Amino acid sequence: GVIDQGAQTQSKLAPPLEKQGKIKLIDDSFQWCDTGLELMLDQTDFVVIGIVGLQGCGKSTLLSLLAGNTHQDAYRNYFFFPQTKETKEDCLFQTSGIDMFVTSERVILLDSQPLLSAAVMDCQLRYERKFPSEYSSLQNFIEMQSMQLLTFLLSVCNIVLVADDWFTDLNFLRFIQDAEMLKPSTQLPSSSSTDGSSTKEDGSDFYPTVIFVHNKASRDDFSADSYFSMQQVLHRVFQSSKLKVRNNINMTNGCQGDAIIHRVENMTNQEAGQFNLLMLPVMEFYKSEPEWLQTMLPDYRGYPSFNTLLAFYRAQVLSAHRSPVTPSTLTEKNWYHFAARMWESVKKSPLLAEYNRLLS
Amino acid sequence: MASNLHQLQDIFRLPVELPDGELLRDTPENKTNICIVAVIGKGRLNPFSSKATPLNPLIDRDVFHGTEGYLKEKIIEGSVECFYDADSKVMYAHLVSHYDVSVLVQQCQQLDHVDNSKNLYTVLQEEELRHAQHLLMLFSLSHIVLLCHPGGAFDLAYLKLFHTIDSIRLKLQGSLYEVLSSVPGVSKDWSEFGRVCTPRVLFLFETPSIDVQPEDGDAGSSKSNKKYPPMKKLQMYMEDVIYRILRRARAITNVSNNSLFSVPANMEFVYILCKRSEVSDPVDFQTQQLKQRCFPSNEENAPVSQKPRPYSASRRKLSAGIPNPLPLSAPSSLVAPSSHATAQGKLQQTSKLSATGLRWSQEQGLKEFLWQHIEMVFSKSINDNVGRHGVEPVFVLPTLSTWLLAANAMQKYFFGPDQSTDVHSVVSSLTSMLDISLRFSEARCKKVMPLAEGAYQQDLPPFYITAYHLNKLSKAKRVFSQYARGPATEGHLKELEKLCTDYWKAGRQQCEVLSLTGNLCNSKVHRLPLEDLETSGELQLSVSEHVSQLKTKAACNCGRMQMEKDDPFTHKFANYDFYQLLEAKCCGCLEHIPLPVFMPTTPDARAATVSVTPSSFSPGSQEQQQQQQQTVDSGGKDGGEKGDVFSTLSELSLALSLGQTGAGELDQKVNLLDGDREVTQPAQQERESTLSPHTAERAALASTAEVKPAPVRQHSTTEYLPYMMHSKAPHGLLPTFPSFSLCRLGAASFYSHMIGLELPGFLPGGNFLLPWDIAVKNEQEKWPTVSETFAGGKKRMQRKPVKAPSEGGDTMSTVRVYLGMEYECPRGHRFFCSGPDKVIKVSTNSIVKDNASRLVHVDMPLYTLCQCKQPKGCMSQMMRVYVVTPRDIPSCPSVRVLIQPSVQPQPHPCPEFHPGLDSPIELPHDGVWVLRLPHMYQDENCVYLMPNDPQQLHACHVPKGMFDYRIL
Repeated sequence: GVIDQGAQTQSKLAPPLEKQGKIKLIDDSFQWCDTGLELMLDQTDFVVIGIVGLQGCGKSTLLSLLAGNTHQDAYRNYFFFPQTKETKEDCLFQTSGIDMFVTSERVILLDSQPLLSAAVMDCQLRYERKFPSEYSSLQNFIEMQSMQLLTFLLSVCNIVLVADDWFTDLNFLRFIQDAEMLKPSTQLPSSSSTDGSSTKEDGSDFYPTVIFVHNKASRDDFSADSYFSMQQVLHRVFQSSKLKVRNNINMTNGCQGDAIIHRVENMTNQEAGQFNLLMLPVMEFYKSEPEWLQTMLPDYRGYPSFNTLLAFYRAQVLSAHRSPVTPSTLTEKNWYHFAARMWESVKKSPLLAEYNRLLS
Repeated sequence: MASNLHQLQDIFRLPVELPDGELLRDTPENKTNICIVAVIGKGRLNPFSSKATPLNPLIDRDVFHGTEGYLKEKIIEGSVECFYDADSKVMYAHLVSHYDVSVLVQQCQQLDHVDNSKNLYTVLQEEELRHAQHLLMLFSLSHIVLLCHPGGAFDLAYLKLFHTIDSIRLKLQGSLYEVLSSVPGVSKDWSEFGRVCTPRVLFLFETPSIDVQPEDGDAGSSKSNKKYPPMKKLQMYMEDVIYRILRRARAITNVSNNSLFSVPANMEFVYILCKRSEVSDPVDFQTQQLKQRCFPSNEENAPVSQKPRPYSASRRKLSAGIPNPLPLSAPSSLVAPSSHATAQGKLQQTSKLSATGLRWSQEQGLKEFLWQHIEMVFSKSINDNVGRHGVEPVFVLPTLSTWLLAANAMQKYFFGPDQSTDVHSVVSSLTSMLDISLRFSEARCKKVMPLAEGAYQQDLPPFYITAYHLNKLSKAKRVFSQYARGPATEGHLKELEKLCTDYWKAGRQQCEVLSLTGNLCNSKVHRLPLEDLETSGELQLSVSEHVSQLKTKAACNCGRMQMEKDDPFTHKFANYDFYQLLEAKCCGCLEHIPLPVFMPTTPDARAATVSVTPSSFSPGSQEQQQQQQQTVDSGGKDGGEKGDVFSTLSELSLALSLGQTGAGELDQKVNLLDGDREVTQPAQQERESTLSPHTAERAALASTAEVKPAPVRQHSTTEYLPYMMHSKAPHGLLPTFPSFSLCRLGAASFYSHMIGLELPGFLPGGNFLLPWDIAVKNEQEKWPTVSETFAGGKKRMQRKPVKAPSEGGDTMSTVRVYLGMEYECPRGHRFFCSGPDKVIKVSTNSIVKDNASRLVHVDMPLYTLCQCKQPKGCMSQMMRVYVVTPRDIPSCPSVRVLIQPSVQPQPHPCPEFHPGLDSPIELPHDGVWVLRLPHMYQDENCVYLMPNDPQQLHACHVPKGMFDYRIL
């Protein structure tokens, strides 16, 4: 109760958000859109946060919440529209390609189409769309499309959120690892020559900070045991990964206020405890929280209120280390051009083509 | 259930172990036809339930637990947990795999505890293979396969898995036939088809992708005239989507016999669990209990528990009884007492909804859903062919015993210890099909490998040292890890390391032996001429001496010839071999005084084992340097005391000063004292007549003392000292070669005081010896007074000019001896010093201004700055000591010069090095004698190089008392 007010006043004090909608960065047909360049400024103080996840795990919702929406907002006011009831019932998907939204604090949010999605595949089937001949099957096409989006986001974002609504799909984790493997080198073509002069930059490819967000977490998940089990699994799966996954952006981090979950003293694996893993519970659907005194018998949740956790989630993500994407500092406009170039190189990547050949 | 199959009353795992012949008995229960339902898929992290837990209501028993359940260990061991429901004659087989996150967690924890050599990737590879094999088995043994999704959308990853399994299934059909046909009771249809039927796959989704909300529930039903409730609609859409995708991926075909599985055409095959029908954990149970107590009125349509029931028995029924589907939304409508009535109204509404089938009971729903398929199995009416022309599908309804036997046989076939080669080859192909990332990574690493190797081999010198190799290797690794990706990287990195190391070791290794001065040998790895083949190991190595690039210039024993000197790798070369080389060219013809060396009497003479003193001397550590500093200070005091000892000894009873103290330093001290008393023991015996009364007295006493067995130093003739002689070396051992050399350059007339020594390398004006005038009485004065012989240096200096009439009319004369301590720098520059760090001063007309008194009476530094005016400053080391002994003149008493060289090359606790003589050497008259000192000082612990710290330089010295004389 008391803590929640802080989060609310914070949002009240914030300047009114400009009511500009999201725009397309990559459209339905996977083409780059130049319209976003108008939103870009000539300044360097910005952060790019992307989100990836399987179908229906709440990617758009999580980004909207990060941009300033609260759970009390109506869905239509969300910066990124979540799936409407109709699309859900019809097994459709909401976001296609990549959507972009820039907040007044110069946070560039990128929302991607669901990865490895049956709905996306079904959409192709339903409308009998043709897919390029280099893909041996529709399924491979969907997989490669997902791979393109993922490698692109891993290349251009400072922070990538990986959302799930149940813990956890091992195949999806592997898919992320494969994307890391296929990520094109971020180094500019001029400096990627193999002669001895550039040896110092060698090996220092750029990898984003990756934060796992467990959405729709239940009370079980908030128990210390379950939480550390999750961290441990992720730590093991990403043991040899170069993605920045151990920045201590997690529920045990007390830097931005109280930790939500307290570290167990006798934890065997300290490294696993550093793993980036945030949790948000199932959203509470009532429009306003009941007054404390009116509550005769509050339901036992086992975790702080949604507002508290939302504030924690925002604070953790926005204060996370902003891994650079290029060796040089970029302005927003530079970044946009860089991203466009990365998208083209992802689409033409020989690595992805090779991977595709292995799929068939 | 009959008692003979009582094992089957509980959960069991394959292979099931039953008494022999039990299954073959002709009992009614063995002959029951059964339907098999397999449960596969992924499971979310939940310690209290597994993906098969929703089946418990169907069985009406609490069978399937989470990992916290009592079967925890068994589940880990055997991956399929089976339960036979005898009432409904249904066999449930639940596949537990690493896709169940609870199992994955345990595997990760095991990795933490067991060892770090195995990483999760390899564990998962094995698991993936096991999982695929289990799927193969279950798809051949089941009628119905329930595929569980923890999420709300169809998982596309299954398409690839199904495809892989199907292709393997076709490959294995032949060998499976053999396995199945050997099982009694298996029909021909079954064994030929390889499976009981084409299983029907049903899809279970645990999370609905739509949120079912109470207010939306009634609003939706009233507002829109939709035909179906949202959940039903969602389910139908999902069926459409899944069907389309499966058809497109050719996972299902028109003829069900040809495909891995089928889905029914006109029946529901997707089921969405709107809410987990189980109360997922004890906390939930308790809160719900509490709520029931508080609001009993809400429980009107729920079976209120009259008597307390155990948690496990009641939890399922309990949750089913709660009408409100969402526990989180429940309190919001329940809490406000004022709106109690409305809340109740709402509840009634929702229960009405469930009554009308809009929100059916989860429990009933799943049972209904599954049972319609199970009933079809029992009626053998499953036909999922599309179109009319399909072949009649193969369908077998096995008896319990036959199925168990077949299941055991297949379990053995896939996982048994004696796998057929058939299975092996298939399994390996399965591995590669399953792991695309690894294949990609392998291919990529192989491509990068030559690049990385090239980076290593680029600009390599013909041979190089380890540090260089490691540097290059890390560069190659950097190149590799820049381009290589994925799980194969680690293995290939190791391979790269091996390749590069092999490349280096194949004839590119540089010899890494350090010279005594710390320089590397700069030749290819080689064998020393005298080294045993066995110790060096490799036969093809070339034979050569170590050589570093560093060369110094050094003069020979006598100092007449200079040559380039290689950086020494052994003290033998530094102190002996090099000079022996020059002996042949220069000093060989000169008169030498031999120094004691080891004389072997046996051919197998060996080096004595000398234990390295524990307080090993390391010049590097500061602490020790400080310690040294202190000990040096105390050493200085010792030096002061020495004088006292000396004076007291002269007064003490002489027995004390005898050579009884045979051991160690004291012995030497006594020797030193003896020297100061201008006497040596051998000389004592020979020339007793000429001795001073004092010494004669001593000698007399000494001879009486000799009655006692005097400690005789006998040198070993079988063991030699492996390093140089020094003050702490064990007695009785001698080195194989002398590190000092003593030779006679010529007659005394060889030296001209006007010209100096005309030897190469001397700096201008630095080549003059210093006069040491020894006062002697004339013939008639036979005995020098005691005060005279014991006089200190100062006194003697005061006595100059030399010819002075002494008391009693005695005429004093002097004998002039010339002394010189030569310093030599690495560039071959040489000069004499008159005192510590004082180069001799010579006036313009070549007259030396200094005398030798300080050489005699002061510790002389071993190192001093060379005068060669190098910008960096170059240190020179004392290398030679010159003594010009005068010719005996008949009218004047003869003087014999005694020298006893000793060098302390580093501060204490470094020992003093000496040539190994027991007594001072008496130099014969009329000669220019050259004592060449060692170049390198080495004992059993280390090499004593010039200290880097200039503060310590003064502690490296040649102690005073090297020169002495005796008047005949």
